[in-house]
Amino acid sequence: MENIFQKPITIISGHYGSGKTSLSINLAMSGRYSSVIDLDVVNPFFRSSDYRKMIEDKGVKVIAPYFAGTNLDVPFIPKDVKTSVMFDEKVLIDAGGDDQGAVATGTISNEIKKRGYDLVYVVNFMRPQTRIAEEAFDIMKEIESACHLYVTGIVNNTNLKQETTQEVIDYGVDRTRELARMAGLPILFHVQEKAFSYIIKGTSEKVVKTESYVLTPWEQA
Amino acid sequence: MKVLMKGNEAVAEAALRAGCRHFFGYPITPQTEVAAYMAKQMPKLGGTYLQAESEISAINMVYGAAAAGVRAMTSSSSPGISLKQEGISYMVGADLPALIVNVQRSSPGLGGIQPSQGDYFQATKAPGHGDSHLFVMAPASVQEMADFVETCFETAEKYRVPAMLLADGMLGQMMEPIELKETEPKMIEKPWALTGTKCERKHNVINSLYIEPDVLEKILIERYARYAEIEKNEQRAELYKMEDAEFAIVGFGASARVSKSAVDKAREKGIKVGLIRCITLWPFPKKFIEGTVGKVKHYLTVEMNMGQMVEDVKLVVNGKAPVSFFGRSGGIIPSPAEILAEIEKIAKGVN
Repeated sequence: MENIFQKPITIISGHYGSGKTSLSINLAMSGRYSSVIDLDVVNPFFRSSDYRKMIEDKGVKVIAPYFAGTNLDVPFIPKDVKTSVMFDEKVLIDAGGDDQGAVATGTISNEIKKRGYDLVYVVNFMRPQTRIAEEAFDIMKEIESACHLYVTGIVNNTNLKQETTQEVIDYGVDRTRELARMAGLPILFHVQEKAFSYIIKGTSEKVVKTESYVLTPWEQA
Repeated sequence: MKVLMKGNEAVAEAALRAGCRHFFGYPITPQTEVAAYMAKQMPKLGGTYLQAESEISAINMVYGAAAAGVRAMTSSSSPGISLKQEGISYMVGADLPALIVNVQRSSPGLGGIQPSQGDYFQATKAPGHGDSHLFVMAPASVQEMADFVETCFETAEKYRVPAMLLADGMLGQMMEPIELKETEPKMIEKPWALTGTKCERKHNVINSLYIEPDVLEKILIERYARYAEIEKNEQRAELYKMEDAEFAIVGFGASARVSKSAVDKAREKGIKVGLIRCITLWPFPKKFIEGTVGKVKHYLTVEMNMGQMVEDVKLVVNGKAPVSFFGRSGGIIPSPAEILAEIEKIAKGVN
């Protein structure tokens, strides 16, 4: 993946089930980050830290809550998160879904501001609670107030997984542009899995191709 | 257009579409999204979402709402379901239809938070104390998480029994594109419900306490006659590549989904294996398995536990073919490769 985020800290936020984790893993695997922090304390499944070894093999430091991959059910922010945000060269943060998830990021917002940040809002307009731009906008505002930071750009990840069609893509692109106008924010890029080749109509916006790392057990060998 | 949903969200949305306006819950991983979704959406529809102070309270609130004749539900995960068992037994004893969702995690005890099918026995054999059964369905996809909600409500109301949707953490948490029903839910009259007599009829009584043994026995016999009707009418299973199968995997839920991949891989290697996916767990889909006895040389039950449904499969097969078990537990999901290896072992052994 190319280098889109210039600031020392990149934060990936989004509504619940928007595809934050998938995007975070792709960014982590790009080799452009020295550290990856999983602050998704809301959802115990399908989190960046599950892919710890794969990312660590790329020479990237992974910081995740201690219960990750274990059986403990208690959200806990590791002590080295703050140190990493303050001193590591280039840091990627996978924030949790919705405003509840972004609260953890809010606890280190001062340190993040001091370093400078890109805060991405990932949106998938095929999810039930973000079918229209207004709904996505409301959740974005909730996330901003929970993490005490401002969103700097929008990433469109509208898809229906294996059942994605051109119609789905068009719908997502239109809604994303509406959202961007409403929020006065740039569209950073549209995400598309490598296996897909849909057309983003009428635009000069970037399309970023991603690998699909998150597989269900029956999709695995 | 379809929508991309988590299994837990699908359950909640489907319940709302099925006319459920009363949800009583208590948070527990990995089912919390059911309650979270309800908390957001229920007020918009003028319904009642209530987070009770405990699982025990929540199930007794369901008892009250069901007694009043409305569609009510609760959802939890394994340890929380154990807490609800007293209330479930009371609902069985009072013939109250309602939906209980169990998004299973690994147990016993506090166990873990990863997916499991360890509550099969609890759901099908002893959902509470006393002679009792629930109508139990096991979805294997997010679409089924949604579709079975209405089936559970309708079946529960038809026979006046509580229903359980037995899912697991995998199905609850994963996202898949699904089609949501746009049709109006089918509601039936509930002349037994506590809706107020308006001084126009004799008052109804909802109760599970019967001190006189002969009265209680009569009630139990009547209830078991309804159970017999359910066993006759409501068995459901999916037969996959069973037409010419020499070997059969028997499974349910997420483990059946993995087994399906294993069946496809085994077929590529020329092994004639099929899958019997149990969709209703109680009633156990005996008919579907019985139809294969005599043709299948070996049954392999695959579960995410230490071996539970395998006992029911053995009862149906009744010694006419070997029945073996393969399972992973503790929150581990078996891989298609592991199941394939088991199939290959069996195929070699028989040949």
